[in-house]
Amino acid sequence: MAGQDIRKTGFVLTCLVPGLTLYLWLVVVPFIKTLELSGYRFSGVSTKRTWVGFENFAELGNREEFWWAVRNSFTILLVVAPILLLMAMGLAHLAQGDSKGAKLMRTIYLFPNLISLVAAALIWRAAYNPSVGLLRGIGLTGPENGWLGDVGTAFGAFAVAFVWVSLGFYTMLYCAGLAGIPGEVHEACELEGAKGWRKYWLVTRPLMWPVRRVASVHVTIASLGVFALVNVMTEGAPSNRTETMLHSLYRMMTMGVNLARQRRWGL
Amino acid sequence: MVVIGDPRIDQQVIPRMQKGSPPDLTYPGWRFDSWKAVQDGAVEELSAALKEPAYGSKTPWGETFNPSLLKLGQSEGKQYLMPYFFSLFGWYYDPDLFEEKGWKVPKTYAELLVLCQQIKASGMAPITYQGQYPDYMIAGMLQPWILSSGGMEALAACQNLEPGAWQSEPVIRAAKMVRELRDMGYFQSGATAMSHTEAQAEFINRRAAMIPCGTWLYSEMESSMPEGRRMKFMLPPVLPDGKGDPTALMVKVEPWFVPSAAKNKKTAIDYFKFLTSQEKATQFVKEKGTFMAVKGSTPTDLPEHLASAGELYDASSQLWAAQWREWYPDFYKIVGDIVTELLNGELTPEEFGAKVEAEAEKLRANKNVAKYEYSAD
Repeated sequence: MAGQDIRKTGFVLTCLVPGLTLYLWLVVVPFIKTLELSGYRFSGVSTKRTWVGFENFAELGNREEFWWAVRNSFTILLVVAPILLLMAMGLAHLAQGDSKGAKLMRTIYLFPNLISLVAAALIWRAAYNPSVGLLRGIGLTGPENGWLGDVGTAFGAFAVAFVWVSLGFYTMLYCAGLAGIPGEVHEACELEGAKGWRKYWLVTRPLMWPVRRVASVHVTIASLGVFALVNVMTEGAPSNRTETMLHSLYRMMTMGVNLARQRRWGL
Repeated sequence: MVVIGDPRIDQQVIPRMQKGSPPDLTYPGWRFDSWKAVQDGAVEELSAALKEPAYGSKTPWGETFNPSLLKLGQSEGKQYLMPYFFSLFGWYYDPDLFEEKGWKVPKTYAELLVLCQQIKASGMAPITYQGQYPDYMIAGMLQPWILSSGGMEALAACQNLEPGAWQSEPVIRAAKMVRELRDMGYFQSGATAMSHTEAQAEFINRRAAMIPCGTWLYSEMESSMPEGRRMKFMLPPVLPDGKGDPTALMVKVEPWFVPSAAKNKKTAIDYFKFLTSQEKATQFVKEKGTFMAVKGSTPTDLPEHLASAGELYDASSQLWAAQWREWYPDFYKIVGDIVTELLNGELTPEEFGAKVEAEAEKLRANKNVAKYEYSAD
């Protein structure tokens, strides 16, 4: 028995070696190096580095841009994402069944997922254009400074585009989840007399837990990782009101700002 | 010799600079922070080379450049960065449109206000701007008007972060002018939300009569230009009662340099001498449609959109540059954000001055950022 166990453990370890090596080499080592680099003042355009300890942290905290980026990213996560998931759940319920209308809806909601994120961002930029935009065309002239130019509306306008591009995916996810609930459960519910909200709260919602969990994890990653949409739509303008964490990191990197400070950001 | 060209050459130059195996000569583009490289001692000093004869001539190499442009690469009297081609920054208008409507190109701010009123009455937006990138409004309005109001000293003081400079009377006056144009409704509605190409499209499609921009405007918009559309360069209108030189003109240079760790510095310098020779420079202007920092390299048969700028360049007795943009990119970005707030009507001119001055104070106190000095001609 003991011999077999050892052999088994040995086999498992052998199998783990390639994966662990890759993980150490590609994830752990770069992370430690990044941590180390974040303690340097490093312009990124020469070999010169000066050890400054935690100074880069402090400097980052002094920048308004940083706080806007944090604030916006977390607003997306804590406010926009829950609204997005609620809408997706609602739409998924509406798009249940085999009727032609339901099928059409499922197709329409998936459409934004079929086009590239950059194209979607350009579509929204064009729609918000204060001179020739679609929204202006339908009477939604917006504020004097333009939807994406006014500090009061820019984030909201951006959030609408974010919901638009993301909604289809979560709707599809919930549709699949709903379709996965066995018919017998619904029948049993009806026999017991549970209908409408009551049925949703007591039966559908708990049974949807695995799908909702996946959606929550995914939306968290997506919310904190908003980049392409900002980069194409606004680049953080006006006055950082649409800045997000990942985009701010990228901007600092490409605009010739202290490279080590970005490492701080990255961490 | 190997020559590598790429629109994002900075992505190749940066890792090589970091490794200490840079190219012998580089033009890394505007994304590269050349002054940080100078500060790190990674850029070769070329003062001695400038005294050597130029390629194919007996004139010292340094004397073949426009001195105002050459100066932009100096720090404490030493030459590190070299100019090559350069752009001029001002405003553009459509001469056919102006003629058709009987509008006159405004030379003074008072004339501008009158003209804007006429243009607005005709149903067109008088001025549009590239709101997403406040750089254009700093270059096309704020700075020229600081200069016009307080003279080169006032603008130099701002660039040198002198205490109180950003809150001085000339800055407040310039901010007041921007705010006035906005409050009168002379800026195109929604311009703050526009990218550079969107705003420029408004201009070439005659939905706005004037736009601040650099001499690259024509080539940038050429592919979407309506048939037969013309454009001409003009100076931002000035204050006749101000201290500034009314012919002052803004130049923009993207520098070349020889890295100190280069292996073949002598060859690199010789090659750059060849590139900036009279013959090569003239050829470059003809082929690329842009100006060269080499004296006498501008041909007489330039297209109108460039010639109109070239005339003002020849007539200008004061060329200036926004060097603080390259020296302090972080600060410049923050000032841009504050300019956006001014343009959106959220700040009064006085609040604008106070907010920028507070940021300038933070920068002054930051010992980690090397400080430079702008010298007026």
